[in-house]
Amino acid sequence: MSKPITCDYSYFAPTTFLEAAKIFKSHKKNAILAGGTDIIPLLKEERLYVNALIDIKAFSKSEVKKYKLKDIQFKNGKLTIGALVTFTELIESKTIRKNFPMIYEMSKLVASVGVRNRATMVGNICSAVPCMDSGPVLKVYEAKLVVKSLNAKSSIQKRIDIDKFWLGPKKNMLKNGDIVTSIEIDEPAKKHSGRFIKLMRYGGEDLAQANCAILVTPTPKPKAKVVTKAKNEHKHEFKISFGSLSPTPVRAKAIEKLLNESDFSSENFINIIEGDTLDKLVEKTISPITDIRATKEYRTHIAKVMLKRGIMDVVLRFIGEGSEYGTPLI
Amino acid sequence: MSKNMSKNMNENVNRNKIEVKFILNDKKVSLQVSAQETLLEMLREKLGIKSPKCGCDLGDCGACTVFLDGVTVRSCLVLAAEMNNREVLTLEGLMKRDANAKDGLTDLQRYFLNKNSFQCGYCAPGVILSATELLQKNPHPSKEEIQEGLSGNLCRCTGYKPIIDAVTECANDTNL
Repeated sequence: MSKPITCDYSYFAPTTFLEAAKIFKSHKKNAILAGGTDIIPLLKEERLYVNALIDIKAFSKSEVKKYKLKDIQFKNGKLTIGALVTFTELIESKTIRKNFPMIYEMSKLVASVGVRNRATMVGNICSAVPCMDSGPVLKVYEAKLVVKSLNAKSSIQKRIDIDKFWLGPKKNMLKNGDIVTSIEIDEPAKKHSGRFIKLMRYGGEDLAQANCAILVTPTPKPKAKVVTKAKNEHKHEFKISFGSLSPTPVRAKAIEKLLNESDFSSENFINIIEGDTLDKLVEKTISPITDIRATKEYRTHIAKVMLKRGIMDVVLRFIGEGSEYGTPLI
Repeated sequence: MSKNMSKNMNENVNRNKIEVKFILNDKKVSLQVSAQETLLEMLREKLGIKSPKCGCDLGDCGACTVFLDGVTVRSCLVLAAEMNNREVLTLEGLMKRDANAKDGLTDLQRYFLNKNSFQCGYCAPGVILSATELLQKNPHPSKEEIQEGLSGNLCRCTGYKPIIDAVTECANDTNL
């Protein structure tokens, strides 16, 4: 027997934001419904109480187009992923595969096919569960979220840096009535490589015990007028983020700094990878807990292993010799 | 526009009477549902479609898998109220659509039968639909791709081997 939903809400399927705003005015305690793969279990388990579910899947074509709700668009070096784009659509998108392969690699590891066919990336980050897979990837891509408020009368949308978005487990900085309409990512560099690693208890579908995203780009050329001592300057830049290892995904800035100090073809770089400074920095960066999926000791250990393997693979990918995107590393 | 808007809103406010019109197994269906009802509950309890099963009821086990607009979804995680203008296909409909006239089974089902792939059968409708979607998208999957494609369908009886074997053989059958 299925567990009935006891929460006493009304269901709305507005076709415009204006209509949604009207509903919002009379139903302040509401939840936005897109894929529903997080919200419906919460309702069944009586962990979410709302008096309205506002389904944003019934928006008219012109509204969907205006707010790019179904877009996977790569234009002038900027990627837009709409709020209604599912993980399956990301996996099947040639644009993603070609220009942002790490998003492909990550999306393939989210739950299972039947969930990915419904679940959206925007929903994933709005739920703000610490083990979300999109988190670390969007952090290293330094994504921006485009937000529309149902309170605002104009159609102006604000942009929020992903670094400021999460406040804690299941908490984000959205105000009541805010809807994330899309995610924007600037292409880091024409040539870049990424690596997403997810540790699960078993092959197949599971939430992450720990996950990690690593991005390597060439260092941007300094502007002509800036005088630099170019001789010893490193040629590459790392961006690293861990997930499921702290209340919200974290950027590992200290580790990035250490790795950026020497070029990865140098002996010093190998020394960094093999030395224990990296391990100590991992411990400082993360703050894992013990839960049903893993102990904090195991999580700490595996974060170090993931990081080292990931760095090696992402460097190899950068020079065109690494593993194919989508192959597991752990 | 505002007239339509208030009309729509009034319809929806009446919680226990949301009218949905959709296509179920190639036939038009229209009925009244509540905002709290899932697609799974509606199919099993109101429409007599019994192939989707309730397993975990949280989207993990895949026993409730159905096709929604051509892709498999967890019917326990979809609200019945969302069904307006959508298309739902369950195993019943798939068999009517694709089944071979002789035994009423789809080609893939015949392989499952020959390999004795299921024991209790509770997961079978979900596995069959997931495998059907997999072969539609990827007619010649590797073993890893089959495992990945079916990883959202839990089976407590077989250890998956006869299931994966059947999908592999069906994909390799050059006569299909």
